[in-house]
Amino acid sequence: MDHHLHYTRRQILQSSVGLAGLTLPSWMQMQAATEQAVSAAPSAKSCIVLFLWGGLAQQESFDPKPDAQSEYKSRFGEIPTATPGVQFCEYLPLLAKHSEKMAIVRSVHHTQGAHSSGLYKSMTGRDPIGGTRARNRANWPSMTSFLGRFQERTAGVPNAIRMPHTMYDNGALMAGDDGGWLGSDYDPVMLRIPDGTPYQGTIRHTEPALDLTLGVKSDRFKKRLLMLDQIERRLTANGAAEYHELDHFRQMAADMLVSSPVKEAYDLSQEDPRLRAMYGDHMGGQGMLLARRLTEVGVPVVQVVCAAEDLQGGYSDTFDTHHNHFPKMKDRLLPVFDQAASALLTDLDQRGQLDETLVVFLTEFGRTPKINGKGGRDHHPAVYSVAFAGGGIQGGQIYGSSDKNAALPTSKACTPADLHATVYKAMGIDHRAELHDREGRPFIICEGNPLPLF
Amino acid sequence: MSSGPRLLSVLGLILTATSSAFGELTWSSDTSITLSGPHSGHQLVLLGTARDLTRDATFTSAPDGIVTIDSSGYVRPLRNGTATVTATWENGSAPPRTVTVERHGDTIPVSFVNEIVPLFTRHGCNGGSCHGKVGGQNGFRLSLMGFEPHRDRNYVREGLGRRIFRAAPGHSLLVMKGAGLLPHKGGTRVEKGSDDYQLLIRWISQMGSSPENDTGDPGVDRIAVMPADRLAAAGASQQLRVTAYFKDGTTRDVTRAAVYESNDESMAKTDLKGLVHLKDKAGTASVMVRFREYVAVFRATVPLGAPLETTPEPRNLVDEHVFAKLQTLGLPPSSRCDDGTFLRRVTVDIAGRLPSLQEARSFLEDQSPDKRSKVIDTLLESSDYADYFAGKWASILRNQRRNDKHRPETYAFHEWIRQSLQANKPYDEFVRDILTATGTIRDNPPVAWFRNVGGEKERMQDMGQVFLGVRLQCAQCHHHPYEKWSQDDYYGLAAFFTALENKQARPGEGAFLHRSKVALSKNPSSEKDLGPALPGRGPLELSPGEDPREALASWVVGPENPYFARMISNRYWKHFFGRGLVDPEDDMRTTNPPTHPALLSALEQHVIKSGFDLKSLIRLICNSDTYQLSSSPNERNGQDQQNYSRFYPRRLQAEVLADAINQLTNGSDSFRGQPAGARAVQLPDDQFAQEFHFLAIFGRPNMASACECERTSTFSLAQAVQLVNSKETSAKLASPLSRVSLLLRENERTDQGRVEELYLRAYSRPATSEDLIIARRHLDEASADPAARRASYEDLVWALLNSREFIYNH
Repeated sequence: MDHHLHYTRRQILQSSVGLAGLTLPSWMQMQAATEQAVSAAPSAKSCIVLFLWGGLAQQESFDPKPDAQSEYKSRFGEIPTATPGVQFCEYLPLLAKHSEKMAIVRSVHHTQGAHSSGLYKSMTGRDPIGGTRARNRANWPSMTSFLGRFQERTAGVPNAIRMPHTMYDNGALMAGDDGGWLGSDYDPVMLRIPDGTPYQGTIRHTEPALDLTLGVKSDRFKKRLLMLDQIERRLTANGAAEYHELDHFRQMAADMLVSSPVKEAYDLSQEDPRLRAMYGDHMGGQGMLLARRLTEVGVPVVQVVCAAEDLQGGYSDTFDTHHNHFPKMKDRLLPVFDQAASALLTDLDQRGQLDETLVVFLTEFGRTPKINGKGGRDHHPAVYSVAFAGGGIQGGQIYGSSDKNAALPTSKACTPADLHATVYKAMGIDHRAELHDREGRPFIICEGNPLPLF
Repeated sequence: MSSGPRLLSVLGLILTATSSAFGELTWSSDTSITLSGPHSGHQLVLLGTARDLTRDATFTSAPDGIVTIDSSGYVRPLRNGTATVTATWENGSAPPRTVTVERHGDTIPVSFVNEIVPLFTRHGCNGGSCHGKVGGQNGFRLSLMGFEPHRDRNYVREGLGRRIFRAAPGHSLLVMKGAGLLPHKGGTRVEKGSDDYQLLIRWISQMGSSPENDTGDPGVDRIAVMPADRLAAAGASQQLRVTAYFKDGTTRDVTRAAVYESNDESMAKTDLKGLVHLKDKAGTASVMVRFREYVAVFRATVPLGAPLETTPEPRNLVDEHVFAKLQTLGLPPSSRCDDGTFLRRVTVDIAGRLPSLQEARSFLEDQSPDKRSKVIDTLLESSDYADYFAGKWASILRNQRRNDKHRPETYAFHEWIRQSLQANKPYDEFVRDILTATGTIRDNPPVAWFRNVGGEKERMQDMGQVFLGVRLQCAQCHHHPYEKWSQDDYYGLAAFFTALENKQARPGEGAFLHRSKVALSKNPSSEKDLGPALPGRGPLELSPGEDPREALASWVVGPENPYFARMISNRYWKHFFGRGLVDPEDDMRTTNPPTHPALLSALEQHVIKSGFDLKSLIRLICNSDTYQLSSSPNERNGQDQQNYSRFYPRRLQAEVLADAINQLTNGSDSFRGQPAGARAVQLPDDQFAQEFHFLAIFGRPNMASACECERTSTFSLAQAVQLVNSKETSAKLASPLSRVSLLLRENERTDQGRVEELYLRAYSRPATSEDLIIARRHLDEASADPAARRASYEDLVWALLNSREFIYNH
């Protein structure tokens, strides 16, 4: 894509981040190149996406159905929330106290019933045309990649981060979770969550993660950079413009490895142990804490996958509960999630950061009203629930509704693209901004409309 | 600037201006111009020798009152009659032109296809991101870029009475929204009161009156833009005139109905009236002009400075063309690169590896004048050449394993490609072998292409893109927006592959065979079943049982196919220069013209004359001085990115860089199922990037696409982190078998001797005195303690392999 290459190069030329200063962190702001895309004033500075991989049951989370017919009826009860008249599932007691900060959307729907296509749809807003092939650069870029695409670049700070791993279904890597045709520059950078009890099930870590652990002592690394700087200086007098791209990213890498806010943020041991405990001693909680720390140092978008990497037919710690749905939700999945997500909202609120941090709860689809023979619920894209909090979102509201069995939307039906448009609006990005794909075809980044949640 | 002509005009001297300066001014208009109907118009274009004078000249007409000419040179009728138009500029004037106005009092029906649909296109209404996308936008749909006007006619009439309000055309939703008088997501597209606004109003008010619009549309035969090619100054502008030639022999000025798109906004911008604004950048800018489904291209060449007095003596036809253009552009080329740089560059580009220490030493010592040519020949005969280019071809022929059971097959196909290249099999035979392959992969490896590329449409698309540089994908759903390819062409070509079946040959092994069934493919728009048909040739006559792929292959590789030799020339050019003469290299179309058309033709002729000898093509390219220029810019060519006035440095490809790190550190990587010592460039299929992350991070393609663009050549944060902080590299530096260990073990060597060897290995050139000072200072800082000395050597090697000079082919 010439369009974005040109853009990157121009940006880099303007940045004047040369090799001088390679040895020291240089928090030089890159020139803004946000083009025509900035629309209104943003209500959020950063965005945390909590992805509930596997397909979160709407009935056992944000849209309980006490009046469902008997073979559909949840074995869980419902509890009141801080918002009069709004109920959550009884196993989200901590989040229920935060309902005044949250906008619950109970009427999301689409038609992609497989994990691969459902994830693609929920992350890109588009139906996969011609199947889903992971790592294919013809794929549509994810919402997180677009968010990163329209941010200013800051030295030492990636524009988008995802963690702790990419999503898999029975060994097959999912598509729609990366930069797609925007190119590898815009793939959200993969980070591991350095601490916490891991999810049960398969975690193969097949996708390479950025390792910020210096392989040599910091002094030696600095000495190496100094040496490299001297070698390169010979060339700077007659250096061609083509080298600037290397210089730019090498500078960023060195900054991050020696001492960058991102590296600092990555060190969870710097956090108050009591606060760490509030998030829970699980990868799910520590990941959300890490997300907060990363947005705090200027990473605009962080996606946290709240489940194991591979769905493994529903046997791993994922929301793909085809069997033993109720015990698994009650014992393994909801407690970790409830504690972690509510801690995130409490923490952001206490720091005064909730207003500028948009938290989005996404999943690829909901689960069937009917409970199957194995005590599970199956895939159900026809209606499901998501939630927003912070970032200018008006809390304490319910948008849309589903019928008494949680089978179909009954009001204000909306799509993943509408959810994305809402996020773009909060982040001050014109969701109708036009970009060109690899074939040079013009596309607007999002076909949805922002929901009136502000 | 414009005060001169205005003054002349005021003084009334125009008609008496002498004819002495006629030679300076050229009209691009015909001698006589006819304006038919009250709303017709004609764009005058007046060219000076060096610049466009259209907006600087003074146009007058006599007698008064027949036509009016505005400051942009656009002529409109006032009443029937004949007028003489004169143009003057400073002290020159051009031969007069006659303008005849007819039918001024008549009501001429607005043409939906020639006026309204182009209006939608000009204002972006039917673009792919607006109403032109499948399903339309907010309930209003138009066909993409107006390629299906018969559908548009129905679309605009849906909801008659709201969208189109005949009683009060100005209150039609179409007009109100388009003019921004009602909320419209697309904003104001057509200003109220403008020509286009009035055209819409006129069209709506005529609706329902007979005769029905367009009943007699003759259809367009072609369009032409004038001028088509100009040498222009930086910052200048150029007015274009576009003429449509209709099939009934009539012509019409469609300058204000056409769309203009610059292929590079940093070089040229366009407006709706056909005025091109050039920016301050030297090079060639192209503007695509489109009217209905027809395209034409305007090219402007902007010189950097005055033409060069001299350019280097051309070494071969490549230099003749490249240097001639540099001369015109006033762009001085960099000097010839030094021997070490050349050896490294050409070894990387032909053999996909760094020169060995021995190779570097002997090349630098060699005093013979033809040593560069000799090394090119030696490299081409080496098996490394075949290894490296087999990887390139395996990727675009999509040698994906998908399943470990397929391993013998992907290996067999890779080996077949490798051997074909090694033996220098003529390229036309190579392609014919693939396109007509039958049987099992083990017996006939090129059959693998049919397994790799599933389905007749994908095969046809890959064939078009890989071998002809024609991207037919667009024509699957609609007329190709920038080309002549129609949906019938698409499905006619796809039909060649429909009579192929995959039969079980042996247990677990399939064979691709032709079956004697009529090959057909259905065009979903017309719902017609199409048999195999070659574009522009009509349906193919086939005897029963004849495999149509033979005829297809003959057409693809045949000498009269204009794309085949051109595509391979361009692909290989890009391999050696990092940029295609047409770029992207596999997207050849009128609207994506080459930067050096004559050079591309000459390469094409060379390929055909040599009998499709690929090594000969490489020899021609690498022996040119153009390929051997230094990458260091001089004071004037630093910004040049398309004229080859210097060599453009490129990051080493994933596999080459991985191998180069091993060459320098004496390290190795192990690949599952590969013999020990296998190099990354030798890997036969797509599988290894997933287990060896270095290759994934540096963009080794997944072989999922026929496009070389699948290979990432850009830099990323992950790559930089990998380079400066990789555990693998650290292990290679620290290993007891590492280069550092080997060098330190040689007790008799001096530090200087060791540093000199490292520089030769890393850069294939001798260390300069400055290099030696930097290295010595660094080594001397370390204490005499062996561990510290070793560490400082490791650090030196680390710095070398992280330097620009190492990471790039420069």
